[in-house]
Amino acid sequence: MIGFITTPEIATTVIDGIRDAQLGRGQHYYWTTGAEPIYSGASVGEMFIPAGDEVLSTPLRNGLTPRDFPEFDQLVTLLGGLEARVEIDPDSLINPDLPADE
Amino acid sequence: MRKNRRTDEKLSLRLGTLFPTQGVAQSLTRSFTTRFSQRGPDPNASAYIGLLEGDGVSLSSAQKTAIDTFYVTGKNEGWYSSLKRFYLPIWGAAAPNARCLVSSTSGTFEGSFTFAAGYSHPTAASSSNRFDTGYKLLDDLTIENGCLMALAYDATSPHDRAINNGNKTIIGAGAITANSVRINTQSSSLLPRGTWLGADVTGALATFGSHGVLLTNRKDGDTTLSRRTASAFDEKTTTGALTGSYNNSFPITGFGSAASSTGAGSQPTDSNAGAFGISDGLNVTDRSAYTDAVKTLWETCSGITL
Repeated sequence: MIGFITTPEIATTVIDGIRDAQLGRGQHYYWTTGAEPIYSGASVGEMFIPAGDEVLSTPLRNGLTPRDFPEFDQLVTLLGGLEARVEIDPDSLINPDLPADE
Repeated sequence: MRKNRRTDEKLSLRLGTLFPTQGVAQSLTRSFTTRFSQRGPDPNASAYIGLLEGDGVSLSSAQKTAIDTFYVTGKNEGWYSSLKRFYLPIWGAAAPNARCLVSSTSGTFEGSFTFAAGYSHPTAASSSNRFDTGYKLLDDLTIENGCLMALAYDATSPHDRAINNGNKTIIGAGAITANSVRINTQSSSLLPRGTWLGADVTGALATFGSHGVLLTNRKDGDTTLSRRTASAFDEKTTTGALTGSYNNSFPITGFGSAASSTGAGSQPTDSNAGAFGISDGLNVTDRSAYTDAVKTLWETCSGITL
C-alpha cells in the first residue's frame, strides 16, 4: 500500500480537511482516504494515510477527483509532498489486540 | 378532478396562443393531461433522482422509472417504512454511490475503491478500505429486530462466489463472529452465513453460492439467511436465543465488519456489491418482496442481470 506516514496530529488535520472540503461545499461527507494506526514495524505509533494514485484519482462527483480540489495541494504539502509517499506492509496495520476471527 | 380539468383547459388555451400550430399544442396538452390523470412521480424517488443528477449522473428514462417503481412498490407492499438505510453503489462515483435512498444521509467510502458501472468494490481486501454507513444497529433497531442486506455480485460465470473468499464479510458490525451481525462466508465462499450474535445460520442453502441479494434477518426469535438469485429465493432459519454481546459503538460497514468505532474492519473483502441495506427485521412475505424489488431495481439501473 502506498501513502503517507505521519503523526496522529497531522493525520487528524488531514482527515478533518478532507471532510471539511465536502461539508463546506454543502455536500455530505461521502469520501475520505481514511487514516490507520500503524501497529508494527519502524513507524509503530504513527498513522498511515493511503494515497496511491488510484486513491487520489477516485471519481467523486461531476467528474471531479480529489486532485481537482484546491485543498488537495495544501493537504499534500502538509504531508511533505507526493514524493514523501512510501510503500507500507499492509500487515503493519493489523491491530494485534483484535481477537482472532474464525 | 374538476379542478385539474379546468387547469388543463386553461393550459390548452395558453398553449394555443404560444403555439399557433394546432398539432403541437394538442400534443403538449395531451402529455400534460396524461401525466396528471395518472399518479405523479413518487416524491422520494424524485428527490433521489434530483440528487443523482446533481452529482453528474445521467439517468435514462428506464432508470428513473425503475427508481420510482422501487419506492412505490415498497410503500404499497409495506416494507418501505422498515428501511433505515439503503444504498445503491452503482453510479460510478463516490458521492452518488454513498447516498442513502431512504434517509437524508450519506455513507462514507474510505480508502481505495473501484466504482464500476453497476457495482463497487475495494481495490484490495483491506481493513483500510470500507464503506462506513455511520449507522449503528441500536440507533433505531434492537438486537432482536433487525436486518442487513447486500447484493453481492460475481461478475464471472458461473455466478456463485460473489463473496469471493472464505471468512469474509460483505456487510456487518462486530469484531468477531460470535459478537457480530453480519452477512459473511464460512470457510467456503460458496456458503453464505447469516451471523447474528450467536444465533447464526450456517450450512448450505437449497441453491449453492453467495451470489445474489442476501439478507441476515432477526425477527421473532429467529435468525434467517435469505438469498435471491436469478431464478430462486432460498431461506434457512435458526431458532434460538442470542448468546453474543453487541458493541453499539461500531458502525455497520460494507466490505468488512466494523471492529472499532472508526469502522476499521475484520473479515475485509474486495467483493463486488451492488446494494446495501439496513432495516427492521422482516417477515417472510416482506423478505421475499424486498429482495425481489432490490433485484429488479439493480438489474434495471445497472443493465446487468443477477
